[in-house]
Amino acid sequence: MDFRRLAGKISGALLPAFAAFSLLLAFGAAPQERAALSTSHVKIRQLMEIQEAVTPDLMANEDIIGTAIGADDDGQPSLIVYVNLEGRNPAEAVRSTPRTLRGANVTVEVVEPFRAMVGKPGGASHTAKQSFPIQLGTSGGFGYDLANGYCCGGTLGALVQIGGSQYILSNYHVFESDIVNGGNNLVAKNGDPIIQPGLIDVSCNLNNAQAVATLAVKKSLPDSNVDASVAQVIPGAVSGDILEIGSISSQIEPAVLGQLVKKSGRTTGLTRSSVSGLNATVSVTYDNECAGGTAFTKTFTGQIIINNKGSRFLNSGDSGSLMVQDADTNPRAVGLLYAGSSSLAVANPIGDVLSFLGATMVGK
Amino acid sequence: MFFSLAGCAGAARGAKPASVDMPRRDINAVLRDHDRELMAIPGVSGVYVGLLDDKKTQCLRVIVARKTPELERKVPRRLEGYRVVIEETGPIRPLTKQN
Repeated sequence: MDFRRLAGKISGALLPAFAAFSLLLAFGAAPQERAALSTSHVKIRQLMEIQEAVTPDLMANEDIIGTAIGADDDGQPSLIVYVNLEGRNPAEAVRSTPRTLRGANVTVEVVEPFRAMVGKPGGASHTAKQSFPIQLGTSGGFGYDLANGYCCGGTLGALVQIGGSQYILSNYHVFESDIVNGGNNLVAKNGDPIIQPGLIDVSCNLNNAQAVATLAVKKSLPDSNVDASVAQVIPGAVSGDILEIGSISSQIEPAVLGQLVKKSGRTTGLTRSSVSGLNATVSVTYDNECAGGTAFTKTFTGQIIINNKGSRFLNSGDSGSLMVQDADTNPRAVGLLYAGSSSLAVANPIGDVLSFLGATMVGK
Repeated sequence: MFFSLAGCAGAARGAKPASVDMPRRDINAVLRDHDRELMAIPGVSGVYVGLLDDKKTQCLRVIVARKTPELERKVPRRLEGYRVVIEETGPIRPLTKQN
């Protein structure tokens, strides 16, 4: 059992009780693991004593927002130090945190600030039907994405320019992955409606959504190295802004390890994270229509990996979101998000996407 | 041999053990030359260049939906001097939503 990610989060005052609780949670499943690594284990007790002693000094740095007991990459008990991703200078907090404290291994994790789970206050709706011109980072998809008793949808990511026309950028599997007659007796084709919100947010009823663009089939998959598709904008229907991000730059930015990024998507709205991996080779399996059978498994290369603990950065319905650098003004695009798990997210490098499409970002 | 294991413990005893463990090539080139072999291991769904928990040291991270003893046996601990870390992620899926 991997217990390192279950250690949790807590402020300094509750640390001893939390440590005991998190260990019980983490080791509750397997009796042999309980015996080996419970709070009665001498190594864990020692680590808890060290944690209690060093936490006040660590948290004197306002960007350090908690500590816990977990494990390092070798599975060895470790003191976890949580650094606030949205703090004043998280990179400096990571750099300045010692890797050992009083003989204990220290693992630094950069996380979003801890909040009571009462929902997001004040954020824009990413699922509501908007007035024209709509902002992107919103629910959307293929207008006929209804098959086998289900409807499907994702996110309308950003605006790109191809030739003299503007297009909405999203994923192949959001716009055009209906490739068999199957459960709805149609396949995606040029000119089909791309709608806002997506069918998933209008009770699967196309009449409750609005067409904002028309599909321009690109067949990026299975043969290319990007999961991308575009739809030509209906004049007046789409603004270049992205919900809660605003306008973006027309320039793009390559990903680097540790880079802070954000995205605006249908399900999780505006979220932030950091790049944790580069040059990834990743296999992803695609369906042949909504709730359909397997179409193919694609192995991508050169992909960007982003921290996605607990699916807090990216979740189902966020496919198609544009990932940008975490800058306040006109951020540059970094990647096109399309896949993930409950611990990591995967993006195509935006340069690869634009090259495949022969497109440029619409921005300032 | 399936993997080049230069840098594994015990590869050299005595003279200059530290140099044996030092990566000699760019990690992206190491990944490029080994990703197919790693991806061919049943249960491996990805591999990438990441960092160890110290947030500084580059390593190769192997993505698996579920870590098993068999995977821990088959995935090398090091490749050309770089640490190889198995990362249990759960399944990686396209992230559309279905209602």
